Amino acid sequence: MHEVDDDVQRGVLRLYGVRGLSEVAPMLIEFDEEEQTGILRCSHLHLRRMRASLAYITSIGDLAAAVHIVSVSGTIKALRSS
Amino acid sequence: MRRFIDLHLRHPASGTDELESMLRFAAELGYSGVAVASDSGLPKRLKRLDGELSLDLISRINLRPRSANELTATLRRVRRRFEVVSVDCLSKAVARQAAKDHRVDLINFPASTSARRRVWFDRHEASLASGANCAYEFNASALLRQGPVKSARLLSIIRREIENAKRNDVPIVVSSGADSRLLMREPRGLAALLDLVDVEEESGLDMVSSIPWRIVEVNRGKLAPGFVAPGVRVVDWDAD
Repeated sequence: MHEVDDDVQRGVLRLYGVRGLSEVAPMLIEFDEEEQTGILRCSHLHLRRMRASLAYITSIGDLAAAVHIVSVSGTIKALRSS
Repeated sequence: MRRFIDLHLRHPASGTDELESMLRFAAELGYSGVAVASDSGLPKRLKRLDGELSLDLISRINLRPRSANELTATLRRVRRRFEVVSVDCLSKAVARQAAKDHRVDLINFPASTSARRRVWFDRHEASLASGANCAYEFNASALLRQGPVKSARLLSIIRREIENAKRNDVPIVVSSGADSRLLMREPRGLAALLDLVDVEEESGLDMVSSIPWRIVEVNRGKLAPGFVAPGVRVVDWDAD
């Protein structure tokens, strides 16, 4: 989970810098290693930046990887039920 | 509701199985249509996926001519066989010819920044493309394959190209250009990458939905039996 979180943060930092990272404020709430899915929190005002940063990720740790958004919601409860 | 389309998937080197997996993945990601670049069209067994996945499969060819003459000769041969014709512009002469030729749908430029400095979508190119209704294509894979420094250089060129396209009303299309699942992105993710070149959110979404669909629909109309010229088509062969 820490590795995924680090790479998500690094992704935003690489595209938008320190100021961008502070505005987007991504935080990995949970990550299921088996399903390879997780819940990521970020500022709703900067959702597009979050999408761009995730789309720009091409590796997690040393492994080639891609991150895709399955669903976006205002509440974690709605995400869990979807 | 928007219908998204990825107008550029490349045939993977690993073969048809990987391509099938990419097409299934495109449907999962929410695309309604996908164009696969291939010299010979899609393999028969993949054409069946059209109905199974509710995915509109579009035929596309990428031309890489070495001269303007070679381009016109190739266009004469392939235009009526493919729904989308794209030209990779490797020289200024080819770029100029491609931009003014009505048979070309999309123009692409090299992903390498050193080559892109020699041949890019400049103002003259944009003005010619505007007259021929030829669209400018941005492939996200070009960006994803580079390191951060090269990406930054490429983005700076793409930003100027997009400004030229907008100033001349040249349609802009955003595609993945993927040749593996790892380079595929969901439609909103592709559109979000345009934030890096100062494209508004709604315009970005149009570039992965309505703009590429328009190109496909116009071309399908031209390839349909009875097409004579834009706006003119035969409706009944038997009528006197």
